[in-house]
Amino acid sequence: MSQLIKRLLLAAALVSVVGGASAFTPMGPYASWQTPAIGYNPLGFDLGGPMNLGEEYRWNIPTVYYGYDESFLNYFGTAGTNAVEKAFAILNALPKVSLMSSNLDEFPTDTLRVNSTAETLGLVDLKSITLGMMVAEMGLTSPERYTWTLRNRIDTPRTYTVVKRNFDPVTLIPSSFVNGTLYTFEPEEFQNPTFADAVEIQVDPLQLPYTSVADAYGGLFGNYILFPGSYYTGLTRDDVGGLRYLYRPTNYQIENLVPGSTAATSGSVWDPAAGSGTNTTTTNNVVSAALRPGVDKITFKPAKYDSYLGAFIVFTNTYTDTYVSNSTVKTQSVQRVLLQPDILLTAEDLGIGVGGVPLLAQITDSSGWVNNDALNGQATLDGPGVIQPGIVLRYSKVGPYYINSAPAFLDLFQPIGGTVWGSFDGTTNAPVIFPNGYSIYDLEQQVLFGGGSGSGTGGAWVVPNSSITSTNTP
Amino acid sequence: MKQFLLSLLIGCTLFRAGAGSSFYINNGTVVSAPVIDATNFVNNGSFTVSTLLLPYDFSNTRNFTNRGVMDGFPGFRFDTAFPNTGQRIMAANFYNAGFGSSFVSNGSVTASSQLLISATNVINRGALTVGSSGLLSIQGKNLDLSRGILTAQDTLGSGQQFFDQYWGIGTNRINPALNAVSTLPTTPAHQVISQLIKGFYFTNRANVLSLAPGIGATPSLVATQLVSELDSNRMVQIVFVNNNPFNPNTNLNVAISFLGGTPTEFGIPVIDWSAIGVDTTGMPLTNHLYLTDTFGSNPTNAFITNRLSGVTLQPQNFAFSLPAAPQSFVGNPAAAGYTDPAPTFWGTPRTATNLYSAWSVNIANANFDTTSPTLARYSPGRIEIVGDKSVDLNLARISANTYLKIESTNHFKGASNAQISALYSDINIGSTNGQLKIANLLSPSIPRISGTVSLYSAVWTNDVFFNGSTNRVGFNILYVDSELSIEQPAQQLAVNVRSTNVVLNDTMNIVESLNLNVDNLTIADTGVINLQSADNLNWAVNAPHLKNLTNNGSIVGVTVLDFSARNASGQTVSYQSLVNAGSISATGLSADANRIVNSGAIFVDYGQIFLRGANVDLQDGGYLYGYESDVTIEAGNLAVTNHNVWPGRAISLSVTNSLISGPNFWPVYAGFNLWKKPVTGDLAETEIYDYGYDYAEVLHTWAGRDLGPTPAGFTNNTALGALDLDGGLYTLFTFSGAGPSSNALYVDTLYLLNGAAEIDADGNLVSLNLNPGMKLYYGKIFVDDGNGGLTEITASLNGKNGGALVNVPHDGPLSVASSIPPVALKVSIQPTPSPRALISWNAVPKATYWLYYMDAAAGNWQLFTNFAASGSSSTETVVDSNMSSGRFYRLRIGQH
Repeated sequence: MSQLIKRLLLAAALVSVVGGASAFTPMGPYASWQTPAIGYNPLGFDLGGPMNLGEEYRWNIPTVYYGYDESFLNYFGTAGTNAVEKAFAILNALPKVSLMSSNLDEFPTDTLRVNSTAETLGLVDLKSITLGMMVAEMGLTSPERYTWTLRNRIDTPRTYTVVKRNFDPVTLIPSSFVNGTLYTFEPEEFQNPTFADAVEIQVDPLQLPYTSVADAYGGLFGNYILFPGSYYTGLTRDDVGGLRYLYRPTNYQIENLVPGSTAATSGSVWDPAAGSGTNTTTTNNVVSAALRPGVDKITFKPAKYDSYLGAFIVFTNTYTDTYVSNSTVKTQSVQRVLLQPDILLTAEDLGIGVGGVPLLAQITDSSGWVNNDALNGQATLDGPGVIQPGIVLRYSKVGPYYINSAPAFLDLFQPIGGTVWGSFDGTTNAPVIFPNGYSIYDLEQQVLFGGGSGSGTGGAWVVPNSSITSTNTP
Repeated sequence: MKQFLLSLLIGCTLFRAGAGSSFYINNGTVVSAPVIDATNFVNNGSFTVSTLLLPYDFSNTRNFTNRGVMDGFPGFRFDTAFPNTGQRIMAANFYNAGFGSSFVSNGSVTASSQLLISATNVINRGALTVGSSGLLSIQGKNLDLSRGILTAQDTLGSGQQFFDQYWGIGTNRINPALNAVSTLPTTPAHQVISQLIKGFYFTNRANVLSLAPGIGATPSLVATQLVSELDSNRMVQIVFVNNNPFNPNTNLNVAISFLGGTPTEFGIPVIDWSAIGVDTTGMPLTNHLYLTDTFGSNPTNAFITNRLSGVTLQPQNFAFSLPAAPQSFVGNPAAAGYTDPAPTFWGTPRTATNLYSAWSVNIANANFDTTSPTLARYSPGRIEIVGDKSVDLNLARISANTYLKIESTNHFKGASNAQISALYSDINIGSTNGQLKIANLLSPSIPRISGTVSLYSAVWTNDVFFNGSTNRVGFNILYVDSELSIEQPAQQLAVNVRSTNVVLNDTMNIVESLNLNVDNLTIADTGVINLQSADNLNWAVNAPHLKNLTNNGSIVGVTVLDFSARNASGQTVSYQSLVNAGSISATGLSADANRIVNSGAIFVDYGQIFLRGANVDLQDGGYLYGYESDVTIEAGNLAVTNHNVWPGRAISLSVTNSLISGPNFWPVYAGFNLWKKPVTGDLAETEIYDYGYDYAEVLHTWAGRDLGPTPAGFTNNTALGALDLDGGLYTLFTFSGAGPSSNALYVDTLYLLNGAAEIDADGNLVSLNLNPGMKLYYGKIFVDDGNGGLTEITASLNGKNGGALVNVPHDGPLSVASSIPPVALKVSIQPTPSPRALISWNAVPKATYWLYYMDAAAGNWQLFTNFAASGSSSTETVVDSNMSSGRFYRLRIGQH
């Protein structure tokens, strides 16, 4: 569960490789028993807690819009948006979950690779972090972190109740495997702050650990957990298995439509919305609360940004909603007016995390997700629910930084270099380094000589043009 | 970071590569990791890369060739990875060249952690190496690993783990007179804590050096003392090492030295256990295990946690190490041996309060808890070889620190003259040509120091008078009780073999599962199949298609060995042949074959030996030995000569056609039976010694036909040469007929011994019960004369026991002409010129002698010699020049 610690230990032990069985972990707002004292958001950086089956959260709209605000465009430029587009392209390339094979053999259990040049330069892959964040915002959290997790802890005598929140995507039974890597656990007590955790331990230390993309943003310490130079080529089998569980058409839940949904008014989805759009099902004759299947496939589309106005273009998204009424599957045409994208990407100074390390990325946590337990039966559960639009993916724009720490590294010429955003793959193409205009030469110069302007533009970031490759066609 | 960047700049100048290049060729030196996107990778120089977490890999590379040196941290991944899809496939070819002038700079690929090769064709003539914490994985279709070296270890046994047995620190009272000045140095009883099962602890008391076997004879006790003295300062340090008291002759050397040590400061005792092993290349290499104890120099002690064994503890003053090379410790020389000092040496009073630190630790033979051997599959220091089409290991040298997997299900080309060692392994091999020889595939044992060491270190001070005054003296005694072994048997977790014909020359100690998809299996004289677990190890199920089994080596099972095949419905199918010339041992044995031949030894503990065959041939010198079991033979034709059938219970025969019998001596403890009489043949040269315990009714069922009091009853009627009824108090020997009509047992000579000789007032044998329909016809009857001789009472018992006991004058091969005088068997030892035993006894006219011996360690009677009496001597003497300690002799006399 305490992944950063485990990763550091693993790095020291130098381990890796693959296996057979697999599993995933749904995510949602914390259950009442998921307290910091037993390892749930102990440092304030977690997005949500691991959910049991039947208590999962998901999107119930087939098309989700994302867009970049000016801060992002200014900082990352076209190369940055291209990198992010690759992440969304991976998600969009997924087939409908109902068309996937039963055992998901078409998906690899290991999609992590290393660009050794990027590793040497300390670059963190923008595409991979985005992909990890999006898997989280689609309703999954780290299966490696919650393969074993504490349900309770008694101080005297010291007693831990440990449960599994990691489920096999085929059998849906609790599993100790993630992408074939077997985990056992050991209860641990941590200090500053004080909390307990069931720490996962690889049974085979030579198998590749933490393979799931859902784990990419599951770090306990609120920072990315991909090592510099590593990048994902796609989703792993277990990530896809988790998404299949959430979005399969046979997964029925009683859900409301997302706020702002109304009955569709015309055939053109690009018609500007009239007025602000009301949000009442009664006035628009749209069925909101209803038993709904999973949407089968979610498509991510870029929202259009007007670079001259510096704002998103308001538009209407129309889609066909499927629901069940009187044991009959019905459909209705629904529209929603988007004043801004469902998912917004920004670049900010995100503050400082553990050990004085600037936070690299932050995303909207699950606290705003709607719990529909009251609509779904009598038992008191922690879900199911619906993920709501209004998500923000925040990327650090601190830029290159250095950590000088007593007593060994107070010398200005011996700083520990921080990580830098980059974009790279397995080709010999030189990695792209962010902020826009920053070059490998700049980075080398700053590392070797403790700073300097290099050949970059020194902060005069050019606002990129708006030649975003996406369109708003549904 | 700076170093990385600089090295990157250097490396970039030495190769040519580009996006999607055809070739990446390194002829120089690469010292940092480049991104390689090329179809062909060739390294002729030195290629050293270091990555943070994942092993270094390549993009779009189909062919790998290494003629130089490659060194990776944490390692390499040789396959074809497509840079953006995430899919990985096998590379086309991986070739690692031979050594050339030096294997240091040619054909060497080394990884600290992971060396992962996945290619259609893999050829290795050089060295592929990972450390003890690493994994060497070779997967492909055609793997030619002949003449190459595969290594997954740093040094012999490196990575061995330590598991705490108990631990304790505190104070107690030490009395040197009892605890040191003795031929049996023993620690004071001291409190320790141990862990019964994970998470549960208890406190107990322990003595480290106790009266263990061997210590009294002292060969196991090694002691050293260091007394440092200057003016009024003196420090005394003594080390007692009880080295393998249960096996003091183990080739495990112990050396004690002290690191430092002055008149004012204790030194650090260093104990060095060493044993000679062999490395991957077959060269001798010395294994060392070192122990240091800093308790004297720093008695402020604490526990440190060992998470590996489930949150157990050890005192921090003790430290073990298994270094890669012998360590050199320089310190003050200690006195050789240990001398009891004068009583005043210890001061006044001698008994003192001391600080102690105690620890008992199990040094596992691997880097994991070997009580769960299947964990080896997950443990570092392992090699995995998987070839879908073929694997060639001829002349390969493979050494895995922990685990080796060999999988060649299609065609295994063999491992002749290979040197392959691993503590644990999985073997899954097959053959397409129907011929598979398993030889040199696995070493039977691995050199590795492991076992249990218990420690107690005591520190105290006392007032001692020396150099004209009373001074404060520091004492430190370290007690070491070690029970270590230097060799560990190699074990196989699972063995799967598929071929029409298989010859096994190697030792296989199988702990988990066995699957022999084999028609004809021959176990050579060096071959061993040892089924070490009762779970999932059922020979008949594990070898369902076997037709012919020939064992010249050894088969061992911890449960019943069922030598029969199974058809598709799971029904029993007979073997065509079972030929045993070696050794088979199990708790029980069942064999079903058209032809069964035994000239070897079959040992069974508690079940039974059951042989069923159309033709059963029990040959000269063979054994059927059942410690507490029956021997049952069902045969169409049975031939049995000089076969040692020694059940712990009964012998039962059921023979349909013919019985061919030579001389046999069969002792039984629960009777004997003939369930079905053969058409022809007798047991005329067979003597059955029928023991009956006190109060026991010994049941017999006999299918011999009652032909009446006629000599014809002794022919083709399974007549018996001799029967010894040896009874105890109230023993009853009951005989019943097998039916359907009247039955009878015809015996040439009947011996009545001990309680079996009791005769009532009417002249009937008290201990003999012949049920209706059953008679016993005899040629002669003898009773023990009480002086070691035999007295004939043939006539007196004729018609007794209700007329069921009938004399029929008849002489067979074992008949004696008259009473036998006491033989007075004696054994004397002649120490010179070389020790030998003289076995002598009074000669018996016309006798034939069978002299047997049994070594105490073996526990089995074996024929030493047999011969006919010459008639010219009154005493017979046999010389045994091969006697060993604890040998017994037994004499059997036949007369005709």
